[in-house]
Amino acid sequence: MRRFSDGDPGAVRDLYDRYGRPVFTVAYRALGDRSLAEEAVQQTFLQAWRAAAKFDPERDPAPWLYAIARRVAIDLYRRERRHDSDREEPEVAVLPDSFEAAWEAWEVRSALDRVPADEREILRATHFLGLTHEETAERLGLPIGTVKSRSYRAHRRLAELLSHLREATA
Amino acid sequence: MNCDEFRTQYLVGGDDDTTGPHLAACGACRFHREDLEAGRRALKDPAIWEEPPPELDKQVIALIAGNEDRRSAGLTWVERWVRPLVAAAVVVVAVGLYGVFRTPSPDWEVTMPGTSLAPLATSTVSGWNTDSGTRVLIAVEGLDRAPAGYVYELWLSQGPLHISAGTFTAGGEIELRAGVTRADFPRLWVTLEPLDDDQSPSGHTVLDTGA
Repeated sequence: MRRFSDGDPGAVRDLYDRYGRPVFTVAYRALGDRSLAEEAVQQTFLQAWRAAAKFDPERDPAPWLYAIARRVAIDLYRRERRHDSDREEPEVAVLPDSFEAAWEAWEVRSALDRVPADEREILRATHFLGLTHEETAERLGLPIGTVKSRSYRAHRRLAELLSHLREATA
Repeated sequence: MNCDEFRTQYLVGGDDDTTGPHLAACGACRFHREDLEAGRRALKDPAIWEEPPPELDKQVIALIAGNEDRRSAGLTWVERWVRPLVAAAVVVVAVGLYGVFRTPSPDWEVTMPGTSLAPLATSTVSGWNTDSGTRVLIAVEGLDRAPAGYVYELWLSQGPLHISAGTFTAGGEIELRAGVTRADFPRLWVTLEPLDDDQSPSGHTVLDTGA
Protein backbone atom coordinates (compact mmCIF):
# COMPACT_ATOMS: atom_id res chain seq x y z
CA MET A 1 0.00 0.00 0.00
CA ARG A 2 2.94 2.32 0.65
CA ARG A 3 4.08 1.83 -2.94
CA PHE A 4 0.51 2.34 -4.13
CA SER A 5 0.16 5.67 -2.35
CA ASP A 6 3.45 6.75 -3.90
CA GLY A 7 1.89 6.22 -7.33
CA ASP A 8 4.21 3.35 -8.24
CA PRO A 9 2.71 1.88 -11.47
CA GLY A 10 3.81 -1.61 -10.40
CA ALA A 11 1.91 -1.28 -7.13
CA VAL A 12 -1.19 -0.04 -8.96
CA ARG A 13 -1.05 -3.13 -11.14
CA ASP A 14 -0.54 -5.39 -8.12
CA LEU A 15 -3.55 -3.91 -6.36
CA TYR A 16 -5.65 -4.20 -9.50
CA ASP A 17 -4.56 -7.81 -10.05
CA ARG A 18 -5.61 -8.67 -6.51
CA TYR A 19 -8.83 -6.66 -6.23
CA GLY A 20 -9.86 -5.60 -9.75
CA ARG A 21 -12.25 -8.52 -10.23
CA PRO A 22 -14.05 -8.20 -6.88
CA VAL A 23 -14.45 -4.45 -7.50
CA PHE A 24 -15.88 -5.22 -10.95
CA THR A 25 -18.19 -7.87 -9.47
CA VAL A 26 -19.62 -5.49 -6.87
CA ALA A 27 -20.08 -2.73 -9.46
CA TYR A 28 -21.58 -4.97 -12.13
CA ARG A 29 -23.88 -6.65 -9.63
CA ALA A 30 -25.10 -3.28 -8.34
CA LEU A 31 -25.38 -1.45 -11.65
CA GLY A 32 -26.19 -4.32 -14.04
CA ASP A 33 -24.29 -2.69 -16.87
CA ARG A 34 -20.79 -3.55 -18.07
CA SER A 35 -19.76 -0.07 -19.20
CA LEU A 36 -20.94 1.50 -15.95
CA ALA A 37 -19.16 -1.22 -14.01
CA GLU A 38 -15.94 -0.47 -15.92
CA GLU A 39 -16.31 3.23 -15.10
CA ALA A 40 -16.88 2.30 -11.46
CA VAL A 41 -13.69 0.22 -11.39
CA GLN A 42 -11.67 3.12 -12.79
CA GLN A 43 -13.16 5.61 -10.35
CA THR A 44 -12.70 3.23 -7.42
CA PHE A 45 -8.98 2.80 -8.02
CA LEU A 46 -8.51 6.51 -8.74
CA GLN A 47 -10.31 7.45 -5.54
CA ALA A 48 -8.32 4.83 -3.60
CA TRP A 49 -5.09 6.18 -5.03
CA ARG A 50 -5.99 9.72 -4.03
CA ALA A 51 -6.85 8.61 -0.51
CA ALA A 52 -4.07 6.03 -0.12
CA ALA A 53 -1.79 8.33 1.85
CA LYS A 54 -4.35 8.32 4.66
CA PHE A 55 -4.77 4.53 4.65
CA ASP A 56 -2.87 2.51 7.26
CA PRO A 57 -0.76 0.10 5.16
CA GLU A 58 -0.83 -2.45 8.01
CA ARG A 59 -4.58 -2.94 7.56
CA ASP A 60 -6.34 -5.22 5.09
CA PRO A 61 -7.19 -3.04 2.06
CA ALA A 62 -10.17 -5.23 1.03
CA PRO A 63 -12.89 -3.65 3.24
CA TRP A 64 -11.54 -0.19 2.43
CA LEU A 65 -11.59 -0.79 -1.33
CA TYR A 66 -15.00 -2.44 -1.06
CA ALA A 67 -16.41 0.62 0.73
CA ILE A 68 -15.03 2.92 -1.97
CA ALA A 69 -16.37 0.66 -4.75
CA ARG A 70 -19.84 0.57 -3.20
CA ARG A 71 -19.92 4.33 -2.74
CA VAL A 72 -18.78 4.91 -6.33
CA ALA A 73 -21.46 2.50 -7.56
CA ILE A 74 -24.11 4.38 -5.57
CA ASP A 75 -22.95 7.69 -7.06
CA LEU A 76 -23.09 6.27 -10.59
CA TYR A 77 -26.48 4.73 -9.95
CA ARG A 78 -27.86 8.07 -8.80
CA ARG A 79 -26.22 9.90 -11.68
CA GLU A 80 -27.84 7.53 -14.16
CA ARG A 81 -31.20 7.88 -12.43
CA ARG A 82 -30.94 11.65 -12.71
CA HIS A 83 -30.13 11.32 -16.41
CA ASP A 84 -33.07 8.98 -16.91
CA SER A 85 -35.50 11.35 -15.27
CA ASP A 86 -36.56 14.85 -16.23
CA ARG A 87 -38.18 15.39 -12.86
CA GLU A 88 -36.96 18.34 -10.82
CA GLU A 89 -38.07 16.83 -7.54
CA PRO A 90 -35.37 15.63 -5.14
CA GLU A 91 -34.57 11.98 -5.51
CA VAL A 92 -35.38 9.49 -2.80
CA ALA A 93 -32.33 7.85 -1.25
CA VAL A 94 -33.50 4.28 -1.84
CA LEU A 95 -31.17 1.78 -3.42
CA PRO A 96 -32.27 -1.31 -5.36
CA ASP A 97 -31.83 -4.85 -4.02
CA SER A 98 -28.74 -5.30 -6.20
CA PHE A 99 -26.78 -3.30 -3.60
CA GLU A 100 -27.66 -5.84 -0.88
CA ALA A 101 -25.23 -8.60 0.11
CA ALA A 102 -22.55 -7.00 -2.05
CA TRP A 103 -19.85 -7.91 0.47
CA GLU A 104 -20.75 -11.60 0.13
CA ALA A 105 -20.35 -11.25 -3.63
CA TRP A 106 -16.99 -9.57 -3.09
CA GLU A 107 -15.82 -12.37 -0.78
CA VAL A 108 -16.99 -15.18 -3.04
CA ARG A 109 -15.42 -13.57 -6.09
CA SER A 110 -12.17 -13.08 -4.16
CA ALA A 111 -12.27 -16.74 -3.13
CA LEU A 112 -12.88 -17.85 -6.72
CA ASP A 113 -9.87 -15.85 -7.86
CA ARG A 114 -7.73 -17.92 -5.50
CA VAL A 115 -8.95 -21.21 -6.97
CA PRO A 116 -6.79 -22.54 -9.85
CA ALA A 117 -8.24 -21.76 -13.28
CA ASP A 118 -8.92 -25.39 -14.22
CA GLU A 119 -10.87 -25.95 -11.01
CA ARG A 120 -12.71 -22.63 -11.38
CA GLU A 121 -13.87 -23.78 -14.79
CA ILE A 122 -15.52 -26.79 -13.18
CA LEU A 123 -17.16 -24.59 -10.52
CA ARG A 124 -18.55 -22.33 -13.23
CA ALA A 125 -19.93 -25.28 -15.17
CA THR A 126 -21.56 -26.71 -12.05
CA HIS A 127 -23.03 -23.63 -10.38
CA PHE A 128 -23.48 -21.07 -13.14
CA LEU A 129 -24.27 -23.30 -16.11
CA GLY A 130 -25.93 -25.97 -13.96
CA LEU A 131 -24.21 -28.84 -15.76
CA THR A 132 -23.79 -32.36 -14.40
CA HIS A 133 -20.34 -33.95 -14.19
CA GLU A 134 -21.07 -35.87 -17.39
CA GLU A 135 -22.15 -32.73 -19.24
CA THR A 136 -19.14 -30.83 -17.92
CA ALA A 137 -16.81 -33.61 -19.08
CA GLU A 138 -18.33 -33.52 -22.53
CA ARG A 139 -18.27 -29.74 -22.75
CA LEU A 140 -14.66 -29.44 -21.61
CA GLY A 141 -13.44 -32.57 -23.36
CA LEU A 142 -12.16 -34.12 -20.13
CA PRO A 143 -12.47 -37.64 -18.71
CA ILE A 144 -15.32 -37.89 -16.23
CA GLY A 145 -12.88 -38.96 -13.49
CA THR A 146 -10.85 -35.77 -13.98
CA VAL A 147 -13.98 -33.64 -13.71
CA LYS A 148 -15.02 -35.40 -10.49
CA SER A 149 -11.62 -35.09 -8.84
CA ARG A 150 -11.23 -31.43 -9.89
CA SER A 151 -14.74 -30.71 -8.70
CA TYR A 152 -14.01 -32.20 -5.29
CA ARG A 153 -10.72 -30.30 -4.96
CA ALA A 154 -12.35 -27.05 -6.09
CA HIS A 155 -15.25 -27.31 -3.67
CA ARG A 156 -13.01 -28.33 -0.80
CA ARG A 157 -10.74 -25.36 -1.46
CA LEU A 158 -13.71 -23.03 -1.79
CA ALA A 159 -15.31 -24.33 1.42
CA GLU A 160 -12.08 -23.52 3.25
CA LEU A 161 -11.85 -20.04 1.70
CA LEU A 162 -15.45 -19.25 2.55
CA SER A 163 -15.24 -20.50 6.11
CA HIS A 164 -14.60 -16.99 7.40
CA LEU A 165 -17.19 -15.23 5.29
CA ARG A 166 -19.55 -14.53 8.18
CA GLU A 167 -16.72 -13.25 10.38
CA ALA A 168 -15.61 -10.94 7.59
CA THR A 169 -19.17 -9.75 7.02
CA ALA A 170 -19.79 -9.06 10.70
CA MET B 1 -16.44 -38.41 6.31
CA ASN B 2 -14.77 -35.69 8.37
CA CYS B 3 -15.99 -32.08 8.81
CA ASP B 4 -14.08 -30.79 5.78
CA GLU B 5 -15.66 -33.44 3.62
CA PHE B 6 -19.15 -32.72 4.93
CA ARG B 7 -18.68 -29.00 4.24
CA THR B 8 -17.36 -29.72 0.77
CA GLN B 9 -20.30 -31.98 0.11
CA TYR B 10 -22.69 -29.28 1.31
CA LEU B 11 -21.11 -26.69 -0.97
CA VAL B 12 -21.41 -29.06 -3.92
CA GLY B 13 -25.12 -29.01 -3.26
CA GLY B 14 -25.48 -32.31 -1.49
CA ASP B 15 -27.91 -31.72 1.35
CA ASP B 16 -28.52 -35.43 1.71
CA ASP B 17 -29.45 -37.68 4.63
CA THR B 18 -25.99 -37.53 6.20
CA THR B 19 -24.63 -34.07 5.26
CA GLY B 20 -27.61 -32.03 6.47
CA PRO B 21 -27.85 -33.75 9.88
CA HIS B 22 -24.07 -33.50 10.40
CA LEU B 23 -24.02 -29.77 9.69
CA ALA B 24 -26.96 -29.30 12.05
CA ALA B 25 -25.42 -31.36 14.87
CA CYS B 26 -21.71 -30.51 14.64
CA GLY B 27 -20.92 -27.24 16.44
CA ALA B 28 -18.00 -26.27 14.19
CA CYS B 29 -19.92 -27.03 11.00
CA ARG B 30 -23.06 -25.31 12.24
CA PHE B 31 -20.98 -22.17 12.69
CA HIS B 32 -19.93 -22.27 9.02
CA ARG B 33 -23.24 -23.38 7.57
CA GLU B 34 -24.38 -19.80 6.87
CA ASP B 35 -21.06 -19.10 5.13
CA LEU B 36 -21.57 -22.11 2.90
CA GLU B 37 -25.17 -21.17 2.18
CA ALA B 38 -24.09 -17.63 1.27
CA GLY B 39 -21.41 -19.17 -0.96
CA ARG B 40 -23.94 -21.44 -2.67
CA ARG B 41 -26.24 -18.48 -3.28
CA ALA B 42 -23.48 -16.28 -4.64
CA LEU B 43 -22.13 -18.98 -6.96
CA LYS B 44 -25.44 -18.95 -8.83
CA ASP B 45 -25.28 -15.16 -9.31
CA PRO B 46 -24.26 -14.37 -12.93
CA ALA B 47 -22.43 -11.22 -11.74
CA ILE B 48 -19.93 -13.41 -9.86
CA TRP B 49 -18.85 -14.99 -13.14
CA GLU B 50 -18.74 -11.83 -15.23
CA GLU B 51 -15.16 -11.00 -16.19
CA PRO B 52 -13.91 -7.42 -16.58
CA PRO B 53 -12.51 -6.62 -20.04
CA PRO B 54 -8.80 -7.50 -20.31
CA GLU B 55 -7.80 -3.91 -21.16
CA LEU B 56 -9.39 -2.47 -18.02
CA ASP B 57 -6.18 -2.83 -16.01
CA LYS B 58 -4.34 -0.63 -18.52
CA GLN B 59 -7.14 1.93 -18.40
CA VAL B 60 -6.95 2.08 -14.60
CA ILE B 61 -3.18 2.46 -14.64
CA ALA B 62 -3.37 5.12 -17.39
CA LEU B 63 -6.04 7.02 -15.47
CA ILE B 64 -3.93 7.08 -12.32
CA ALA B 65 -0.76 7.90 -14.24
CA GLY B 66 -2.62 10.73 -15.98
CA ASN B 67 -3.62 12.19 -12.65
CA GLU B 68 -0.07 11.85 -11.39
CA ASP B 69 1.13 13.63 -14.52
CA ARG B 70 -1.28 16.47 -13.91
CA ARG B 71 0.34 16.95 -10.54
CA SER B 72 3.96 16.81 -11.56
CA ALA B 73 4.44 17.08 -15.31
CA GLY B 74 4.84 20.12 -17.47
CA LEU B 75 6.82 22.17 -14.96
CA THR B 76 8.82 24.96 -16.53
CA TRP B 77 12.11 26.14 -14.97
CA VAL B 78 10.18 29.06 -13.51
CA GLU B 79 7.73 26.68 -11.88
CA ARG B 80 10.48 24.29 -10.85
CA TRP B 81 12.79 26.84 -9.20
CA VAL B 82 11.18 30.25 -8.86
CA ARG B 83 7.82 29.05 -7.61
CA PRO B 84 9.26 27.12 -4.62
CA LEU B 85 11.37 30.16 -3.70
CA VAL B 86 8.35 32.41 -4.00
CA ALA B 87 6.32 29.89 -2.03
CA ALA B 88 8.98 29.80 0.67
CA ALA B 89 9.01 33.60 0.77
CA VAL B 90 5.23 33.63 0.99
CA VAL B 91 5.38 31.19 3.88
CA VAL B 92 7.87 33.38 5.71
CA VAL B 93 5.72 36.45 5.11
CA ALA B 94 2.57 34.56 6.01
CA VAL B 95 4.08 33.30 9.25
CA GLY B 96 5.19 36.82 10.05
CA LEU B 97 1.77 38.27 9.31
CA TYR B 98 0.11 35.50 11.24
CA GLY B 99 2.31 36.32 14.17
CA VAL B 100 1.27 39.96 13.93
CA PHE B 101 -2.43 39.64 13.15
CA ARG B 102 -3.26 36.04 14.12
CA THR B 103 -5.95 36.02 11.39
CA PRO B 104 -4.44 34.78 8.11
CA SER B 105 -6.36 35.56 4.96
CA PRO B 106 -8.07 32.61 3.32
CA ASP B 107 -6.34 30.91 0.39
CA TRP B 108 -9.60 31.14 -1.51
CA GLU B 109 -13.09 32.44 -1.09
CA VAL B 110 -16.21 31.65 -3.11
CA THR B 111 -19.92 32.46 -3.04
CA MET B 112 -22.23 29.44 -2.89
CA PRO B 113 -25.79 30.44 -3.83
CA GLY B 114 -28.98 28.65 -2.83
CA THR B 115 -30.62 26.21 -5.22
CA SER B 116 -34.30 25.88 -6.08
CA LEU B 117 -34.72 23.92 -2.83
CA ALA B 118 -33.44 26.92 -0.81
CA PRO B 119 -33.84 30.00 -3.03
CA LEU B 120 -33.48 32.47 -0.13
CA ALA B 121 -30.23 30.95 1.11
CA THR B 122 -26.76 32.20 0.29
CA SER B 123 -23.32 31.52 1.65
CA THR B 124 -19.70 32.49 1.44
CA VAL B 125 -17.05 29.83 1.82
CA SER B 126 -13.45 30.63 2.79
CA GLY B 127 -10.71 28.03 2.65
CA TRP B 128 -7.22 27.64 4.07
CA ASN B 129 -4.93 24.97 2.66
CA THR B 130 -3.43 22.82 5.41
CA ASP B 131 -1.02 19.88 5.56
CA SER B 132 -3.96 17.48 5.70
CA GLY B 133 -6.26 19.18 3.20
CA THR B 134 -8.41 22.24 3.73
CA ARG B 135 -9.90 24.16 6.65
CA VAL B 136 -13.22 25.63 5.55
CA LEU B 137 -15.24 28.44 7.09
CA ILE B 138 -18.76 28.60 5.72
CA ALA B 139 -21.00 31.58 6.47
CA VAL B 140 -24.62 30.72 5.68
CA GLU B 141 -27.61 33.07 5.63
CA GLY B 142 -31.28 32.41 4.89
CA LEU B 143 -31.15 28.65 5.37
CA ASP B 144 -33.76 27.07 7.63
CA ARG B 145 -32.60 24.86 10.48
CA ALA B 146 -32.35 21.22 9.30
CA PRO B 147 -35.47 19.17 10.18
CA ALA B 148 -35.20 16.59 12.97
CA GLY B 149 -33.29 13.54 11.76
CA TYR B 150 -31.47 15.51 9.06
CA VAL B 151 -28.22 17.49 8.81
CA TYR B 152 -26.64 19.67 6.17
CA GLU B 153 -23.41 18.30 4.67
CA LEU B 154 -20.74 20.21 2.76
CA TRP B 155 -19.10 18.36 -0.14
CA LEU B 156 -16.03 19.02 -2.27
CA SER B 157 -16.31 17.32 -5.63
CA GLN B 158 -14.34 16.51 -8.72
CA GLY B 159 -16.67 14.94 -11.29
CA PRO B 160 -18.29 11.92 -9.65
CA LEU B 161 -15.90 11.94 -6.67
CA HIS B 162 -17.41 13.54 -3.58
CA ILE B 163 -15.54 14.21 -0.34
CA SER B 164 -17.44 15.30 2.74
CA ALA B 165 -16.10 18.26 4.74
CA GLY B 166 -18.55 17.68 7.59
CA THR B 167 -22.08 18.45 8.70
CA PHE B 168 -24.02 21.23 10.38
CA THR B 169 -27.64 21.81 11.35
CA ALA B 170 -28.24 25.57 10.99
CA GLY B 171 -26.94 28.71 9.30
CA GLY B 172 -24.31 31.01 10.77
CA GLU B 173 -20.54 30.56 10.67
CA ILE B 174 -19.38 26.97 10.71
CA GLU B 175 -15.82 25.66 10.58
CA LEU B 176 -15.31 22.35 8.76
CA ARG B 177 -12.36 20.36 7.43
CA ALA B 178 -11.82 18.25 4.30
CA GLY B 179 -8.97 15.87 3.53
CA VAL B 180 -8.58 17.28 0.00
CA THR B 181 -7.83 20.65 -1.58
CA ARG B 182 -10.13 22.81 -3.64
CA ALA B 183 -7.56 22.79 -6.43
CA ASP B 184 -8.30 19.05 -6.84
CA PHE B 185 -11.99 19.20 -5.87
CA PRO B 186 -13.28 22.55 -7.18
CA ARG B 187 -17.04 22.16 -6.77
CA LEU B 188 -18.54 23.00 -3.36
CA TRP B 189 -22.11 22.09 -2.50
CA VAL B 190 -24.33 21.43 0.46
CA THR B 191 -26.96 18.71 0.67
CA LEU B 192 -29.65 17.89 3.19
CA GLU B 193 -28.82 14.41 4.49
CA PRO B 194 -30.93 11.98 6.51
CA LEU B 195 -29.09 10.62 9.56
CA ASP B 196 -28.46 7.12 8.23
CA ASP B 197 -25.51 4.90 7.27
CA ASP B 198 -25.45 6.06 3.67
CA GLN B 199 -22.15 7.89 3.17
CA SER B 200 -22.96 9.34 -0.25
CA PRO B 201 -24.70 12.63 -1.12
CA SER B 202 -28.50 12.40 -1.01
CA GLY B 203 -29.20 14.60 -4.03
CA HIS B 204 -31.17 17.15 -1.96
CA THR B 205 -28.84 20.02 -2.86
CA VAL B 206 -29.51 23.35 -1.12
CA LEU B 207 -26.35 25.36 -1.89
CA ASP B 208 -24.04 24.90 -4.86
CA THR B 209 -21.13 26.68 -6.53
CA GLY B 210 -21.79 24.64 -9.67
CA ALA B 211 -19.27 22.48 -11.50
